[in-house]
This record gives sequence, structure tokens and C-alpha cells, in this order.
Amino acid sequence: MSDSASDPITFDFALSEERLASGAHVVAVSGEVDIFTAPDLKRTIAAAIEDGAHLLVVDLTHTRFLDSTALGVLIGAVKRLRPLNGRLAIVNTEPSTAKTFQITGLDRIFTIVATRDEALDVVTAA
Amino acid sequence: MTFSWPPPAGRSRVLGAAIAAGLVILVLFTVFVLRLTENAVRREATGRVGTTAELSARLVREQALRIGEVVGSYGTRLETLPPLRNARLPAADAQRLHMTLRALRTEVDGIASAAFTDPQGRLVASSPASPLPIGTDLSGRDWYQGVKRRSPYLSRAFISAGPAHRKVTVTAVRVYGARHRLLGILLASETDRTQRFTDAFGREFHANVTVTDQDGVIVGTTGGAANRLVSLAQDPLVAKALRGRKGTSVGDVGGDRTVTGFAPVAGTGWTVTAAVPASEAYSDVPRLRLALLIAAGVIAFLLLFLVPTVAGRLSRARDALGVQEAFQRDLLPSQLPRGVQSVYLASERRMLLGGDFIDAVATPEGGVALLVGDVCGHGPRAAALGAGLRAGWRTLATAGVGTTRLDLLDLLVEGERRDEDLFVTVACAEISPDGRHLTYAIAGHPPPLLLTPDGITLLEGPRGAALGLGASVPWPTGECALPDGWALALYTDGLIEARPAPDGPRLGVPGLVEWATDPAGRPSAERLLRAARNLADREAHVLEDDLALVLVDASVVQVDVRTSAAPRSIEHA
Repeated sequence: MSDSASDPITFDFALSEERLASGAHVVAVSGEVDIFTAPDLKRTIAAAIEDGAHLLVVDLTHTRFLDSTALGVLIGAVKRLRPLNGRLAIVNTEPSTAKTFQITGLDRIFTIVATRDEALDVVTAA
Repeated sequence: MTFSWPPPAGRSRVLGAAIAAGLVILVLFTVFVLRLTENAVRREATGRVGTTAELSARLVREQALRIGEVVGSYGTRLETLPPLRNARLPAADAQRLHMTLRALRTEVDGIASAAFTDPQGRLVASSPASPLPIGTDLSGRDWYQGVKRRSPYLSRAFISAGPAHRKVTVTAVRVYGARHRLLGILLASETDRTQRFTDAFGREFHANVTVTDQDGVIVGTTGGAANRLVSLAQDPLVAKALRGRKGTSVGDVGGDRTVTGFAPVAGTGWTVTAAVPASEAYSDVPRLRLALLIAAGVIAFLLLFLVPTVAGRLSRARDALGVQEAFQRDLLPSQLPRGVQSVYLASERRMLLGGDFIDAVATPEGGVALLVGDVCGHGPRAAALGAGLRAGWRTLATAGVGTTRLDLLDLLVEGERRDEDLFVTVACAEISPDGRHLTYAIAGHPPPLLLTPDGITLLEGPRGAALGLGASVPWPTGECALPDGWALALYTDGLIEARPAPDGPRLGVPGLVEWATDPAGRPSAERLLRAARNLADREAHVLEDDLALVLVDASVVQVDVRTSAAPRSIEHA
């Protein structure tokens, strides 16, 4: 992973997925999620939900930037999970992303935590 | 695919001129290349005919040498003859001479007759028997003079004294006896070997080959020659070959354009000419011409049909972009109250239809209401929802509830959006009629900037979530007093997320505050506006998101209060 401070425009968007024994499904996002990369994230999440993943963790630990399109993708995930009694937790420590969540009021919609373990606890809690 | 010709007027004149120029260049180029390659092909073909003539001359010479050697080898059998006396030999020797002559005639292909003379040229014997009596003086024949200079010697053509009176040539060889004493001259005459050669060679090389003797008299010619002495000495090419020169010439032979090569037959004085019809020699030229014309035709086709088609498509694509641009303009408010300044740019990378929207309208009390919003997403769907929200908000603002009833806008989002993922952020503000009081409401939107002589304040105060999240919570309003010299900036995230320098960092809210500060550290709305316009002008093609900025200051109400009861836009509303 490149240093975001010295190389701010590296297009290093990447996704990885992991299905845990507990049934939780983790989508880890790195790089920048913007108008060009958000569709990838949307497809991945939609496919996971379709596949029966109703306990979803989106790990933004290595995500530097989210634009409004990316926020829309996360909102769409929440809306899709709601009728399925699913849960979504977001892992984020990046201050600018936290600011974005705060400005848009999405911090009231999403469960946002600092570590993946916490997120897994949130989604798998009985 | 639709295609119209000529292409629609306007750009078509320039395009037409370009195509015409292209065609002229194409024609000139084709003619030039045609000339060049035709000449090259002709030169090459002409050279080939010259080579054919030289090759046949060499073959004729080889044959002459071979016959000379063969005749010479039979001559060695006569070395032991005794010297002749009055062209006569003892009976045994005469018999041996006769056997040798007969062997030469019958064993060697192409030899029609063989004879022997004494050194003075008097006939000693011949096979078959000659009609000329033994002892006939033949020293007047050209071969007798010739063999004195050179042995073997290939004679001129002449009509033989034999019963058939055939046209013959003779190879004459000196025969020496003991102590290198000249015994006599051995002669071998041929009638049609050269003729057979010209026929075979002509067939092989598709050329008309003619062999002449030292006087230019035809010895053999492809297709057969008359059995008489026909001289070509007057033919300029044969004349040149007789003088020992070789070369090629293109001219009319019997009315047909012909390429002719000519060459001397070394060591004999004979000549060879090889003639090929121009149509055959240059048969590559029409093929070449055809290939070139086809290539030129293809290019002309591209110029005439594909270029206008492609240009037409490009122009339609441009027109479509123009329609989008015009449509985008029509989605924005037709007029803003005097004193409201704005920058709006729909990202080209987002198809020129932005999800950002702005508006400003007079309130019933005579104040001004302002709106900046952002539909997350892009393209026609986002633009349409944005336009609908703008109209909805304008209704609210005109009714005096532009900042207090964002819940109604939220309902509008829920009801009007066609994509469940779409959400909307807005910031709206209302300036009191006296310009002293500000009310604002924020739904998930970046904080507006309030510029006062004391400094810049981010209006982060009471805020609600974005519209369309199903949050169903009320949107609070914030309020503050406006001192003299205030200015208010509402903007969308496209502005703070833009990169002012290519590959540089995003502007961010701190960057925006910096833009709004003059070198002396005083807030400056003018600088902010200039910087935003500059960014929109310069970076239009690389901006990833739409951006919008609305700026007002106290003049927005003071001017309108002085000049009219309501802002101008209301007159058209």
C-alpha cells in the first residue's frame, strides 16, 4: 500500500472478501472509492447479500477517500439488509471519512466502529 | 446507421473543402506514383529484353565454337594425309578422306554436307558428292578469305550449289599435316540449326529472335525464314549490332509497339536481335496500374464516404453533448436575485448532467432564501431529481418555509427518486429583509462559510442527516446575527473534494477557508469567487464531481429593498 500523503492520487482501489464461520461476511476496501470505483463496491456488496450474507462488515481501515457515490452504495446496503433482518457494521479510523459520515448524518444510520473485531461482535451479537 | 450526403450544412463546408483537398492530393500522388513505378517497371522490362538478346547471342556463339571444335577434331584425323598434288590424293588416302567427310556429315547433328579443299581452295572431295567437279576453285568464297584470318571460321549465309539449293552457312577449319604444314581446309555446312535455335529460344523466352550473318543477312528467325538471302543491314538495330554494339530500343515494328534488344555474336561477326511486343514486355504495367488505382479508389472511398460518416457521428455526439449542456442550463434557475453570485460546473466526466443544484428566491417578507444541494450520483437521473427538488424547495421558500420544512423535501426525495441508493444533501439559508439576521438549515451537507470582518465561521451548528436516508428525524435550524460587511458562501462537496493542482491534494474545507482569505488575513468573498471560477474554467475536464458555489452579501437585500419590493426573479416566477 502506497503512502497516501506523498502519493495522493494513486489509483489503488482494491476489494477483498472473507466469509467467516460465524456467518459474517467482510468486505475490505482499500484506496479511494469514487464515481469510478464505487460501482465495483456496489456489485460486490449486492452479490454478497444475494449470496445470503446478511451479517455484513465493510472494512474501510485502508480506505482513504469516500465520495458521495460511495456513501450511496453503503446506504443501499443498509436498505437492502433491513427487510432481511440483516446487519451492517462499518470499520473506519480515517478522520476525513469519519468527517464525511458526520456531515452527512450517516453516522446516525450506520454502526461505525474502530476495529474489525468490534464490527464482528456488533453484527453477530444475538 | 443513417447517412446523409452531402452532410448537413455548417461544418460540412469545411469538411467538404478538406475532402476536396484530400482528393486532389490523392490524385496527384497517385499519378506521381503511377508514373514512377510504371517507368521503373518499363525500365526493368526493357532491360530484360536486352538481356534476352545478349543471352541468345552468347548461345549462338557457344554453338559456333562447339561446331568449330567438332569440325576441328575431325580435321585432326586428316593430319596424316600426304600433301596434295593438284587437288588429288592417292586412291587409299582419297578413300580415307571420303570416310572422314562422311563420318563428319552423318555423325554430327545438323551438318548437311562436308567437303575438303586444298590450301588453294580447290575442291578435293565432298560428301555427299558435290555437283561441282573436283578441282573447282572455291577460293572466291568468303569462308576461304575468312579461314585465312581465323580458324575455325563461321561463314556468311549463301545458297548452296547442292541439288536443293538450300541456304547454308559453313564452318571452315584449317587442317595441318606434319611439321605444321597446311594440308587443306575442312568445311562443314549447316542448313537449319540456327533456324531451330531461334524457334526453340523464341518459344522459351516469348521473344522473336533473329540471327544474321556478317552482312546482316538472316540466318534464322523465330517462325521461319525464307530460303533466300534477305538482308537486314538497313535495320538500324542490326546495323548497330553489326558495328559491335548492344542495347535495347522501343519502337513500332509492323505497326505494333515492340521492345527490341540487339547484340553482336562475339567472335563471329553475326548479330542477334530479340523482339518482344510491348504489350507482353510491359504486361506488369497494367497489373500495377490496376493495383494502384484500386488502392487510390479505396482511399477516395474512405475520404468521400467514411470520413463524412465518422464526422457526422462525431458531430451528432457533439450535438448530444450540446443538448445535455443546454438541458443542464435549463435545470438551473433562469435568474438569480441581483447580488447572488454563483459558480456551477457539471463534471464532463459525469456526462455534463450534474446532480448539484442551486437556487435563490425572495421570501414573502422581502428577504432572500438560498439553496445549494447535491444528489449523490450523476447523469440524467440525478439531474432530474435535483431539478425536482429545486422546484419543490422554491415553493417552500416562496411560502416562507424554505429552512424550516426540510422534512417536506425529504418526502419529495423518498417519493421522486428512481434509485433507492440515491440520497441528497442540502444547505439552505434565509436572510432577513433588513440583512441583519441569518437562519439556516443543513441536511448532511458540508458547512456553509460565513465571512465577517472578524473572520470566517463554519456554520456547523445544528444539523440534520441527509435527505432520503429514512432517518425520519426533524431538521433543526440555526440562527445568527449578521454584522456589517458579512458574506455567506454555500457550496457542494465537489468544490472541497476538487484537486486545485493536478495530482495535488484535495482542497478540503481548510483550503476553502484559505481561498476566502486575502494576503492580509482578512476574509474576502471576492477572492473565493475568483478562485472557484478559476478552478471551474481550468479544471473542467478533469473534475471528478460537479461543483457549485453560491455567494451572497448584504447587497442582496439592500439593493433590492432600495430598487424594488422583491428580487427580480420573482417577477418571472
